[in-house]
Amino acid sequence: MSRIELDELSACAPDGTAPVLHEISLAVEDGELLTVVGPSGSGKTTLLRALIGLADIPVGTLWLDGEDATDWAPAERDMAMVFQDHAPYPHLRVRDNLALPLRLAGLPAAEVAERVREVADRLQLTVHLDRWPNQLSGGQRQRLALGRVLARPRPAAYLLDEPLSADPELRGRLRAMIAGTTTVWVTPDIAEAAVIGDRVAVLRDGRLKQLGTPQDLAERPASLDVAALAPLTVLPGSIADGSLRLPIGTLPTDRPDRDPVLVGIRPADLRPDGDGVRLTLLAGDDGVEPDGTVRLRHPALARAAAENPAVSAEILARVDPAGRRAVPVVLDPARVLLFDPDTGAAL
Amino acid sequence: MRRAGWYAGTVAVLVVAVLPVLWIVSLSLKSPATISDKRLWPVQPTLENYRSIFGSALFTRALLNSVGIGLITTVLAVALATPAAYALTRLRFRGKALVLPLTLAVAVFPPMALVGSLFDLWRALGLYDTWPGLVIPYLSFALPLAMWTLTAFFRGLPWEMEEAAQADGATPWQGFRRVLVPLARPGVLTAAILVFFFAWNDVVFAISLTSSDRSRTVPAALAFFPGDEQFAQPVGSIAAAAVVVTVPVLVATLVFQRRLVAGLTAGVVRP
Repeated sequence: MSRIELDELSACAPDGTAPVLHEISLAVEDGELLTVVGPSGSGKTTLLRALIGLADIPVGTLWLDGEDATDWAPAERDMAMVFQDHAPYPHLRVRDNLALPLRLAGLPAAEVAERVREVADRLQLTVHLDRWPNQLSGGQRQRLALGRVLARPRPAAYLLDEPLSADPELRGRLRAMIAGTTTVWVTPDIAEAAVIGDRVAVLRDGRLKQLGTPQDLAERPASLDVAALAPLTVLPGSIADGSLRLPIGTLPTDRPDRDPVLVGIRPADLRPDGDGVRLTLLAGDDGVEPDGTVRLRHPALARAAAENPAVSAEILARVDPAGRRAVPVVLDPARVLLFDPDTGAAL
Repeated sequence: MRRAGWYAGTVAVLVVAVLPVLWIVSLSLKSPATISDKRLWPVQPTLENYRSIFGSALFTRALLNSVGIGLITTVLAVALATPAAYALTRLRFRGKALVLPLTLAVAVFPPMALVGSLFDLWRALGLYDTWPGLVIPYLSFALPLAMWTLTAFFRGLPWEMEEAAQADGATPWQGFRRVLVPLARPGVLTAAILVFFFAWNDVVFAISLTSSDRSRTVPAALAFFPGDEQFAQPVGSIAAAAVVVTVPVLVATLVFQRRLVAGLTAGVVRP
């Protein structure tokens, strides 16, 4: 059990001397599951390597339960890590792969055997115990990598680098097995990050772009791809003289002039009535999603979507479309999200 | 047609490679009376030649020299080449790109060009006709051989396992001993076998830098076997001695080949 805190921490990739992770400050509370999400090359793996003690940390401090652990050796940190490649020890049979961390921890042979038996049973590795790693499938290798970590007595923290990339079926079981232990879980999939994590850290280009609960991220996204976690309509627009012009109408705004700008509208904010600006959506073919979201194919959007991949070709709305070709909706101008069309950053 | 060619080629290679060996085995089993009967199968096989060479101090002492010099060369070469190959694989330092080409340049130097000057030098230094007098020139060829073999092998090792071991709670020393050493062992064994055979098979240095039983190895000693009578070639004894020094090489190659291939492939997975 452990609280992890990073203070302005920079870290280097294995083959380089220049930091690829820049001044990260965040805390993972005791027992919390933090998911880390970002595109490839954003520094997710380097963050885990810094936490376990494999990465060079030229600047910054790592605190473990209030102690400065920046220079601690990996063995002193008592963290358990699943590597992205799920690579087993090639010279050891599955059984000994599972047992090695326990033997390193100095557990008595009887307990090692018992823990190996137990974890193999839970991960369906029992029939493979006497095999060599090169006889395993990708999914089996993934389970072996998880087993090597889960067989250990509760570590201070679990560090999981895309632990389920070979077989996502295990997600629920893995969550249950690590529940209650501080965990940092890296995933490239922002939807997965939001489903699994108590909180989500968004990395991009080695910097922490956003940190918050999945709800925070959905409400106040720091960038377009974070916003896309929840259903979102993205329209091209421009701001001039206090007006935000959109293909579906014009909204008042207090933002400075900008052209072009990407505008994100959540379907839940497009309501049939209430306070706000009245818009009329000239709907084409309607379709209703299982969650009640209506897809309105607005004629003005198809061309804009062809030009900008971020733009939605249709408007998602929570309205009653029954029997109508022109749908009146109400939108609170304060609820729209504005993004930079080039970087996707929130404005 | 292609198949027939393939079989013909295989047979040709087997005849060229195996027949001389079989012939020597055959000669070693023949008595002096039948030694020149030109038959592959000995009419009255006898172990007399083997009894004779193992009864002569000339051969047993040469065998001791061969084994001793070979083992010392092997241990030294592997002990020096392993850290060198590790450094060449894992560390960055100035001039690293030059090290392997330079060692190769040493290794391709023709031994015949060296023995003349070595003969004088060794006599002046008192190394002539001693074990170190052979071990040192062997090392100058065995070290590059071992370094090339080990560097190539180390480059293919999954070094990230070292980090995996540390993440699993190993100290750097434990990670080295429990993960890297077992992974590197087949490569070190391969290098050791190659080096030992190099020293074991050498003739040029052995005949040039020795003059007595003290350090003469088996290949050099063959020329000194006495005939049964004056001017008679000791063909049977030489053949028996040749078999004695060849068979271990063949057996070791067969045994270790299987084990090495197993060691190199068992469990080595790269995603």
